[in-house]
Amino acid sequence: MPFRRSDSLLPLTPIAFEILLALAEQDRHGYAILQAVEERLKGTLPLRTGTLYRALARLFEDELIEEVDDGATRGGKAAAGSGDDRRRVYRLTKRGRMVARAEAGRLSSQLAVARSRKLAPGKS
Amino acid sequence: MMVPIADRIHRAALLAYPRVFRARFGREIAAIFNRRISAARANGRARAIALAMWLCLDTIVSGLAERLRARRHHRGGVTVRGEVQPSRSETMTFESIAADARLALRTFRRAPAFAAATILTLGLGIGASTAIFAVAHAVLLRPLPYADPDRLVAIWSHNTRQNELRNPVSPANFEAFRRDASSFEGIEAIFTFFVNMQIEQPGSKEMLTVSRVSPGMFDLIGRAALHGRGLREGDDNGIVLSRSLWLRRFGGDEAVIGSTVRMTGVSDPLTVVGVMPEDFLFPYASMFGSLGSGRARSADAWLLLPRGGNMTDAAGQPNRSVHMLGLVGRLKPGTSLDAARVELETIASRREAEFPDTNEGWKITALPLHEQVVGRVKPAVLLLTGGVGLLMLMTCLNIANVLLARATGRRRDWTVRAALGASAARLAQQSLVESALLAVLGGLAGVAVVVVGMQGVMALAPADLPRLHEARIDLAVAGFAAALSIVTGLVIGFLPALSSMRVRAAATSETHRTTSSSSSARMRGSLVVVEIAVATVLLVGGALMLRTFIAVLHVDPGFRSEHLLTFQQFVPDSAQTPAARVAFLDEYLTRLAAIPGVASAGGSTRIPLGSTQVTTQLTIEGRDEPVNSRPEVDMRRAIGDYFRTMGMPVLRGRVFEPADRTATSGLAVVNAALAARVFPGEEAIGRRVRLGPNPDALWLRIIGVVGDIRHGSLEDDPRPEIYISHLQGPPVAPFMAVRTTGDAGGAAAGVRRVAESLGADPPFNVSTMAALRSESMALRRFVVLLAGLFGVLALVLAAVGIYGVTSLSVAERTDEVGVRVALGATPGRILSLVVSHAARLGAMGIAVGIGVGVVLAQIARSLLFGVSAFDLVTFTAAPAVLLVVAIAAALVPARRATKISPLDAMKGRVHL
Repeated sequence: MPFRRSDSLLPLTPIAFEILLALAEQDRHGYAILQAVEERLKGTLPLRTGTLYRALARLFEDELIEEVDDGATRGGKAAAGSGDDRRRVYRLTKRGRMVARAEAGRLSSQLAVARSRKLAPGKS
Repeated sequence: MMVPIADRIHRAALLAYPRVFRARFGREIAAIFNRRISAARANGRARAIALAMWLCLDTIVSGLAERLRARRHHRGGVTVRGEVQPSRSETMTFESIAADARLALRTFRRAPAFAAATILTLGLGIGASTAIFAVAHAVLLRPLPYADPDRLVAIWSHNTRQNELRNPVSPANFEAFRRDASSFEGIEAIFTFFVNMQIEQPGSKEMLTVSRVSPGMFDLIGRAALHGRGLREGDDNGIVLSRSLWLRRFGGDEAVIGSTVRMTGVSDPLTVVGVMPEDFLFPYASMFGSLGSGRARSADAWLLLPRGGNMTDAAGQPNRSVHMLGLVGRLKPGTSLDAARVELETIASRREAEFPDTNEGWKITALPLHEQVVGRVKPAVLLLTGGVGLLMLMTCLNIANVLLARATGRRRDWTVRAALGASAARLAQQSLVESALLAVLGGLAGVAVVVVGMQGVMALAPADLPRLHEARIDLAVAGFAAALSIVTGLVIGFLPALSSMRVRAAATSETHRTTSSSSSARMRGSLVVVEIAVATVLLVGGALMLRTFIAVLHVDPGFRSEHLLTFQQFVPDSAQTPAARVAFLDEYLTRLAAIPGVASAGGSTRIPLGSTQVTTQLTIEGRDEPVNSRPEVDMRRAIGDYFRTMGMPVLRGRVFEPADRTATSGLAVVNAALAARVFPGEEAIGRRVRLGPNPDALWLRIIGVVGDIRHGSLEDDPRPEIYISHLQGPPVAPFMAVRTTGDAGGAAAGVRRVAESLGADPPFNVSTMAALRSESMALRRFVVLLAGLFGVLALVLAAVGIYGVTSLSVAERTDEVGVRVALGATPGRILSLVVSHAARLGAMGIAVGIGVGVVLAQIARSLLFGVSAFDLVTFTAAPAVLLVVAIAAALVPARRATKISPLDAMKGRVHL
């Protein structure tokens, strides 16, 4: 694919960003991503399976994530509940990490402005 | 159980995704689905079902969206990259759905007639389906109102000699089963009939329906009393009241516990020990087995089984030769019914060997108590549920067709929206939201239909349909209606949604208009074929039920049911001796016969179609048969001019006469069935027989043979019967019958006055024989009314379907018709072109429908009477009617087509 700057993909959809956040912590299989996102959001943004996989498909196309063999997960730090040989484990690519960082930067600059306008708690 | 079905449905839903996507993620999505459903099951079935439906819906919508995205991105061989967000026009978000709903409501306001007609039709469909479901739920699905009812089992003696599967059990066998069967926590007994007893309170009396139960029965079925407690060992002078009796006679006063009540003919006062709750129904009349066809539906009060009487034999041991108990057992936890059955079978065999004279040939039958209660009506209820389901399907197909036609009409509208950037998924969603909204509004309209429909069903249904009156709109019924509305919305919206997505695709890929419009016409055509097939099934079913009903209607019961009034009369307590009772009955009959308009009067201990029956063993003089192989026959006493009053023909010999009063020996009259069975090829008249196994019983000389009657039901074959005169043991509560010259019901007042004039209690169970006969056909009538209604509705829906699809096809083929006319086609030719198209659709549907109908009729054979499951008349006439209706429905648009002028057609000026 042609080279593109990591910020050309911004802004990410909330779901895509959540997936990247979940994978930044550790490699996970699909259901674990679902659980991690739902756990973090506590139901404020219900994540549908269909949405998850459509977003995963996009992240794949953009090479932000990749697939790894379940057994060959780095350092054996396999996702919770591994053992199902059909289950794929997803990992953040280098590029994915960059894009996530860029999105985080974008969001935090927005947040800083919001704070200075007293729209969000915390120091500006 | 649920997970595999849900999994299968979800896998089907996965087909909405493009193949590549499915190959990559399908298994994972399916695995996640199953994990979530399994997890949700812990929170209850209802929640799991709701989640499954939601997840399937999500899969379908996401899948369609993905499919459309793939299509868009591959167009022109360019794959657009750099888009993490699936689509700018979001689907399945609250905002987008709300927006679509608002748009749909606006659309409905613009086409109020369409919206109202659709919502009303759906309301009728959903409401009617829900009403029938409510009945099916109450009758077939809801557990019996006892503790842990799944472990309760009905136990019968299987009388192998008479092939009577559910024969009542003898007291001795009851004791043996209770003592020896270790598969059960307990086995208890009831009399397999209600007992009429009269409660006496200062200033008033009331005839009560009483059930007699063994001491452990209340503990066995495990329902707590509302006040006080149930009956126990030692409560021989105790009585438990139903809540309605307690409210009616005791004003709902709790102080009644511990007080005493008096019953006519019972020497000791009875102490009230408890009041049962309102929903405690025990026994259901259907627990009385094959002999039970009494009129009472539920007990007013409960007493323990009597200690003496027939319960013990002459030696004081539990009676082995009288069968009058129905048993209920509670399986030990974890014990299967099959294992229990084997154990009971072993006990029965042992007793056969031990007491061959009384027990040989007596096996057992054991079945779930729920099956005993509702088994008889189960096929009918299932039939109606299936019927209404098919009707609902037809309704959906029709509405799907209308929506599809509208989708075709709104093509331009959608093309514009697509051009403005609406994704196909978004268009599909809008279409689905619109149909879901229609279905939900239809469901709301259906609420009114449910309420009215349930009342209608209850009014039409036979009064003795077990558990029907427990039907109510509860959570399960409401949930069913909601689920049905949603599913309906999806079903009717699916094809239009698909069609709208084609529009999107067509608009962007410039496919020619006619391609997609002809494919939509094909789709509509197939829908109509399915619809006609369903209509054929419903019509054939309705016609078979109608022919069965007519066959039952024409059954000769063996007596003349018109101009006949029947009632039951208590002989007053003052008539203590048999002689006094005979004297009372003589005077009573004389006065009954003197009522103006009464031609004759008589009575019996059992009345056909209106009472249970009693069987006895027959000992034949000169035949050395072991006790147990002696024939078992129905026994009744004839009072006064019974045979002439009932209109039963005397075939040979004579019946009882007043002169027999002085006869020194006993006399008996038998029916033709008994004569044929017991004395095949011999003359019955003059033979002597004895009732029961008792060697000291009186010999009875047979003096005449009368015609057979159908006692239990019009559909049962006549049974062997023996009649003895009431002079040999006058009954205390006989059934009476008077034949009138005019309206039978009109004699009731006179009958009441006669009882009063003799100082007797007023007669009860007063009913004309015509009404009894009609009541005995109530289940048939109920089924035929609903099945007929379904058939008529199916015809109407089929006609509407054909009409709709033909109208549209004429409209779409205006150009073609114009060209044909220009080339010289005659109006007749155009007419036949259009009609033959409709007829072809109809014929295809009918062919499929007949195939399905033949299979279904075979399955539902047990519901038929007097007509074959392959009844040629039905299978030719019903489809023929349907074909005629289909052609007639197509004629209207066909005639319009003949009026198309070629010039107008080409100028596009035709508006059909």
